[in-house]
Amino acid sequence: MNTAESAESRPPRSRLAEALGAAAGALLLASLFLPYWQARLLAPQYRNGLTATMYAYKVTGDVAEIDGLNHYVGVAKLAKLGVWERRLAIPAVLFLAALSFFAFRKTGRWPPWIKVLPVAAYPLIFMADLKFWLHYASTNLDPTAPLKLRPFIIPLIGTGKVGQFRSEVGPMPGFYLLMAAAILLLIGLWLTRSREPACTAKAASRSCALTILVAGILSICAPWAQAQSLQELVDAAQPGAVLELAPGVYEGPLIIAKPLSLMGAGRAVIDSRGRGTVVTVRAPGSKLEGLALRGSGDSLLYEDSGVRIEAASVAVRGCRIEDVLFGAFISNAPGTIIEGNVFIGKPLELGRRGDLLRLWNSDRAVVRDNKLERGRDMVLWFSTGSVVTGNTVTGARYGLHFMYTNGALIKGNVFRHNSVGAYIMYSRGLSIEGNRFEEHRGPSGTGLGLKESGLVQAFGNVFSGNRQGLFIDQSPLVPEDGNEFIGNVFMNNDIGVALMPGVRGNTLVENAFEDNIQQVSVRGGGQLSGNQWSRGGRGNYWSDYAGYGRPGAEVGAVPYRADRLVERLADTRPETRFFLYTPAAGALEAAARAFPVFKAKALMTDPHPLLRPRPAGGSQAPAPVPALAALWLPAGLLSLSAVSVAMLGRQRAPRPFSKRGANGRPEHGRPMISAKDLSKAYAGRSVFSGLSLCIMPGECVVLWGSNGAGKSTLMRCLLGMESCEGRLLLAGCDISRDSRLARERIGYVSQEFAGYDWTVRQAMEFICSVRSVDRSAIAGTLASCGLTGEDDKTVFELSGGMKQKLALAQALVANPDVLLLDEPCSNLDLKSRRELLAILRELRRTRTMLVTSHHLDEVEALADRVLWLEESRSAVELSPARFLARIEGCVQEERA
Amino acid sequence: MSPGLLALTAKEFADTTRSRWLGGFILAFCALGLGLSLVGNWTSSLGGGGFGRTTAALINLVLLIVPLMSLTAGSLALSSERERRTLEFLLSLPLHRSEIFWAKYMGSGAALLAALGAAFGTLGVVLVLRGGLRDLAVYAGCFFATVLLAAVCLALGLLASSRSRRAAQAVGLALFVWLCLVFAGDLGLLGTAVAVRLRPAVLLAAAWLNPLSLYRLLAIDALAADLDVLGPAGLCARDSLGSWLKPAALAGLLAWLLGVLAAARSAFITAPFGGKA
Repeated sequence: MNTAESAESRPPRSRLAEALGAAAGALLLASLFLPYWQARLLAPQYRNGLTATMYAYKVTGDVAEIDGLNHYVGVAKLAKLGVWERRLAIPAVLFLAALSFFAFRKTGRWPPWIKVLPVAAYPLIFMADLKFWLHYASTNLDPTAPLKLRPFIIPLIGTGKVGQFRSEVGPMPGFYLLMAAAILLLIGLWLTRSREPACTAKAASRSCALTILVAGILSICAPWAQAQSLQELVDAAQPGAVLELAPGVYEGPLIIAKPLSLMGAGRAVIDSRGRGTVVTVRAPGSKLEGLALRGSGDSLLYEDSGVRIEAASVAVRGCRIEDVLFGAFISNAPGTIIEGNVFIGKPLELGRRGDLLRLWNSDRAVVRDNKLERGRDMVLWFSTGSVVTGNTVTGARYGLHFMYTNGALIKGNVFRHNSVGAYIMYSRGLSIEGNRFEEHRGPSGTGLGLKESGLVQAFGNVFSGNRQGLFIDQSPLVPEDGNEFIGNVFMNNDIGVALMPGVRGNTLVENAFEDNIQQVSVRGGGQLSGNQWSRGGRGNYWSDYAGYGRPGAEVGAVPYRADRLVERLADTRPETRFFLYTPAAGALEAAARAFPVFKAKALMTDPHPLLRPRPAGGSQAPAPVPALAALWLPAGLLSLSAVSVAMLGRQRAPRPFSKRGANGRPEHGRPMISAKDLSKAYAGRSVFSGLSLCIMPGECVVLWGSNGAGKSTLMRCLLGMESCEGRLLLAGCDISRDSRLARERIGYVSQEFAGYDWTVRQAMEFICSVRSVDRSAIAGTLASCGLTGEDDKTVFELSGGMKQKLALAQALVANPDVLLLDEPCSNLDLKSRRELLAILRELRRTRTMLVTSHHLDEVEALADRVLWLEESRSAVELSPARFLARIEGCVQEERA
Repeated sequence: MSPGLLALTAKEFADTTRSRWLGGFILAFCALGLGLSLVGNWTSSLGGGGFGRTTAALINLVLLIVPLMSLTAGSLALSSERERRTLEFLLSLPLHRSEIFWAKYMGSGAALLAALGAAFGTLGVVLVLRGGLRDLAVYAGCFFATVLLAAVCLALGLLASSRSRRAAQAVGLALFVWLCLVFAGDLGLLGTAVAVRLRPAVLLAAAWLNPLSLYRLLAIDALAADLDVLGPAGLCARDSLGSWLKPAALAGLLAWLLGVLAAARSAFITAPFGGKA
């Protein structure tokens, strides 16, 4: 079938629809050459006004002039708005025109409505986008602009006012062409609709899709529409009306200029999106309840707030006011009630924050049960008769700040982790009861501060963990306005109470000063005269009071004096606080008490100190509950200690392993000990010099010499305990280089047993452990040394001879190549000497031995050769026979 | 670890745990600590936390007893062996001098660790039962800082002991060091601060010259959570070091430990056989 035939065969409706599609495409293409929208700014100095004409892809007109004006108020340049939309406009319109042209032609599988839908939606998308940028430009003003304007709204269609400018905004021919194209396509779609029942489902699905699209667009625009409607709703309401807001987000700022109640039930949010004050109440008697107010501006100049109250008797209850610069700004609004709200400031550094609650000239205000976080102050100026109760303030500068506010009640509040808990300035007649001032740290960290304030009565407050609990500066101004502090608790503060010098007229009685690092301080030094520390025979409780009281008495018999030397020093020289309560400071304090001449003059005296504290009033925290789960750490420490002592506290069992073997064994025919030109001197005094020695394996050499001849020194040199000059080899191992390896081959017995308070077995096991010898060798070694059955005796229960036998057993247990015996029998009785010599004589057959001695029987029993050492002489080597002959000669010489 | 080193370490641990000195110190430490924590009974009934005289006194107790205990243990470790002539016996065994030194240090150190564990464990159990132990991490931190302080003082004791011929001589030297660290150093600095108005930064820097001051900084930082309790020097520490204070103080203590250990080891290894009069 050719094209002409097919065209003829098609119904006229289809041909008409194709024509409409082509026309719509042409209109879309034409719209590119015409403006879509226009905005005119009219002002006295611009008689013809300034015009900005918006095409699909560009903005023309008085753009430079408008940008110049916008610069002053902080509106962004027009060229910077909608950049991507303008870049995409031409390709998008060409694509839409192509879609329109082919919308009703049978060119593919896509049904016509899919092609029609984007073209029909295009005008709506354009309007939504334009609305967005108008809103963006007028609300995101440059904060550094020369002129400060409150954020404003430029209408999409119609007139508006910005400063002295009037704006007229509306669509232009290009937009009308878009609308016409959309209408033509919708007509074409209607013409080509199917009449067959089978297509009902398809039609329904199309309708659904269209409905979803429209609903989506509406949902995007809904908040704006809703926000716009809230102000209208409020404006339209009758005075005294109660407006219950449905859950949702409403756009601020909102101004309430007539008395009405706005109820949110906790789910209605008024969001100012960073512009100005969220809600301004200018009508007396208005109420805000259960609302969430958020997103104020951040201008300190304009005092952007969550809620600003400028009328009397307004109540704000149960609201959550967050992300705001100022929380509630109450100005000239007597009788205001702020109750049960939560205030959370913007996350700004302290210097840039606003006050979460500020009352200015608003008498009889009630601030009750609120929670304030992350603000600057809660401050009351000139607000006489106000009541501040049950609030919790954390993370602020001043938890509470009173300026010229008289006759107020401050009760049951908690101030925690602020710079200052409460600072009362230039105010009179206040009652401060049952508050908690906790953890106020830093250079100005103070629980409660008073400056030039009088007739203040503070009862039952708790000051805990502050740098200074109470600070009094020039209060009261006149003695008749005396302040009273009764039944308060000052505990764990760095300074309990600090006063400026010259402060007079305060009465502090029945307070408890518990565990403060410094109980009382005077800034800069001086005495605290003119203040009362007791009344009616009752003073204060001082945890460091060292006096006593008669049985049953409540008051101590000795006055309490604040006269600590180091504390007084810290008052005048704050840098010395670094040493406060160190052991050194304690020693200084003790010295001052021992020698009263150094004692500091008492800062204050409490003549009637209480022996027991008066419990604080209603501000008591619950008693701590033992957290038994936390026992794991201390119990674990205890268990580990016990196990380690039990396991390691006894002697460690040796490893069942012996690394001894053929390694390093002397080769047959090579000397076991070889010394050449050995010299040793102590402090210039020669012990021996040029000593040479050679001991072959299996040989026993006796070192003979008088006391001080250097026998023991030579032994220590052989063991590597001491250094000496010359060459000294043991089994080919240079002792000066690796004495440890040499000692592995040596068993050593000193002339006097030196050991620990062990049993014989423990002593042997220790040697086995150190030398890596199997402990099975112990029994045989003890037997060979005549210590069978002595295993369980302690070393100190053994006789001298037994001890030497034990020393020999210790030397032998590792089966060493060489035995060094330093006068082994010198301190023994005859019987023991004989026994030990008998053992040594047996060992002589299998060991290389070097024995020091000055007993002839030992030489006779053991020596193969004798090396005769004489002090400051060279050594002489002799055979035993020649040695004995020489000895005999010496004896005869002496007799003669 | 060689078998000899292991055996000697175990022997040293056993000897130190049996020492009456150590037992006496730990008993005194526990008794005083328990007494101090019981004094704070009324305070805790009010729910008060924070850093008070009791806490300061507990830190002082550690500053007084733990260095004394560690210095004494260290000073006796080598000098008593030399005095009893058992050092000669040890030196005749196949052990390097450095092995003997490390065995002494590790054995005594382990015994001190066990003793401190027992003391902190006992105190901790009492504190938990009284509801006074709020933060286990802080308590554990204090324990480890105390162990580190004990390790430094033990090394100082070994340094005093390494060349002393007699135990009394070494103990005397250790007591002198203890007096210098605990009293004389701080008193001298306190006097200087008053006389010439030392700047807070200088006072703070001087803390690194005394391991006890570093421990105090660590303990107060952990327990008080704010160093302004130490006045201008504390504020200076907070502002200038901020979160680096803890690592810097720990690094200071570690530097003390390694420096003193190196000096003590060197002194022992190069010491003449009989020690120095």
